[in-house]
Amino acid sequence: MFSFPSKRVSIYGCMEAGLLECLTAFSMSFPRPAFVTSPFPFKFHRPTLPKRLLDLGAAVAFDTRLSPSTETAMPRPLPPEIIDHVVNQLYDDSATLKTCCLVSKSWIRRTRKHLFANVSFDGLSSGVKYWVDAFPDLTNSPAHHTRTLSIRHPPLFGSFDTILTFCNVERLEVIARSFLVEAALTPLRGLFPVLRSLYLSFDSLFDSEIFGFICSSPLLEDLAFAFRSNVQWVERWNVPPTSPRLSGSLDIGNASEGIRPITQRLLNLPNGIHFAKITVSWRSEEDVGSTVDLVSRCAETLQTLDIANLRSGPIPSPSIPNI
Amino acid sequence: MFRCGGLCAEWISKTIHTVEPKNLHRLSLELPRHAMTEDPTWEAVHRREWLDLESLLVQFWASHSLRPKVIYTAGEEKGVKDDMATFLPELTRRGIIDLELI
Repeated sequence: MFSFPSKRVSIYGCMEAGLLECLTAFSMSFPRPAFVTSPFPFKFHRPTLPKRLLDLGAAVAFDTRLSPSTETAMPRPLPPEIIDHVVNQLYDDSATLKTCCLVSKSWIRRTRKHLFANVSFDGLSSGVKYWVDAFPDLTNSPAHHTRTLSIRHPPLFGSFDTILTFCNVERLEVIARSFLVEAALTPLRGLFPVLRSLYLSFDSLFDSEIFGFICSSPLLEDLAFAFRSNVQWVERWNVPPTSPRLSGSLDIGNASEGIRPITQRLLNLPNGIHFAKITVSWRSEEDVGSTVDLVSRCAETLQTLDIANLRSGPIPSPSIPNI
Repeated sequence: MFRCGGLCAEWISKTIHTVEPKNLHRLSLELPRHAMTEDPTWEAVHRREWLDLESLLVQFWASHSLRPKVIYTAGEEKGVKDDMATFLPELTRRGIIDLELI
């Protein structure tokens, strides 16, 4: 409940909707509260505010002596920081954000920041085409607001110019299908300069394509893989001259064919691995050995090791080296 | 974090044995919800493994005040507590284990 020091309130400036609600609540708290105001702001609200207050039994008086200067009496917008704060609270409420987006021109940018934070394209359903139809002028599209981009069933044919505008993507999720093996990731190399997190789910993909992409993302920290059988592991792999630092998390808990192949590739990266968190699943004795290798290599940085044991039978001893 | 796909606990003990105690700050076990005592292999095969693991965890508690956490992904609290008391009776009796239901 509102707490006022006096039953008499003087009002200056613009009547914001929130203030109107406060005054209404205040008028309900007292038998006959008095509002004394300069006449200027009421010129704008005379049809609504006084009527609502008078309906509630409040006394409204207009005191010309209180009339403020024209400058202070002009309706003033809320400070942008306040509006930003309000809109930011709605980050996960897309319905409300869409409504807010229609308030005024100045609200468009701050609502789009959240509305387009996560974008998903499906290579099979012409998702990019819908985007281009909605935003024909790509330079003014909200793509630069996108932080998480999901691409299902790549490649997205003929969409290079569009994907290029998603320059601030920090997390990329690629869900690939086996019949598009060769061109799932290669066209995306170098398009996301601030990429920090990569999630790959695929049935079949060339490992050279995976690690070629990884090495083309200099700020990459987190890796997560979910793959089934038929990964095309190339025996002779040309190791790139540089690789990202990879200091975040590694999740290879959903590797149904085992973690060894991907572990071997990671261990061969020129700048090494420095993960703080590693998630693995053990399906064979080989996976235990691969975990040993990963832990050994990240001994300086590792904080969390998450192991799911999906195998049966004893494990070799000793297993994990000192953490 | 150790996620158990079955009743076997030996792999957890073996792994923990290789960890430098001073580097271990948190330890979590995620257990599947099942009536373990109804499993015919429980008493004969796995009880010893769990007692060994518990003994190790008690040592960690005594020497480094490390409070293990047990995570269940399903089940009601009472049934889960009964299960936990069977898996890790000493830790449960002493109240030095945390339970989390997710």
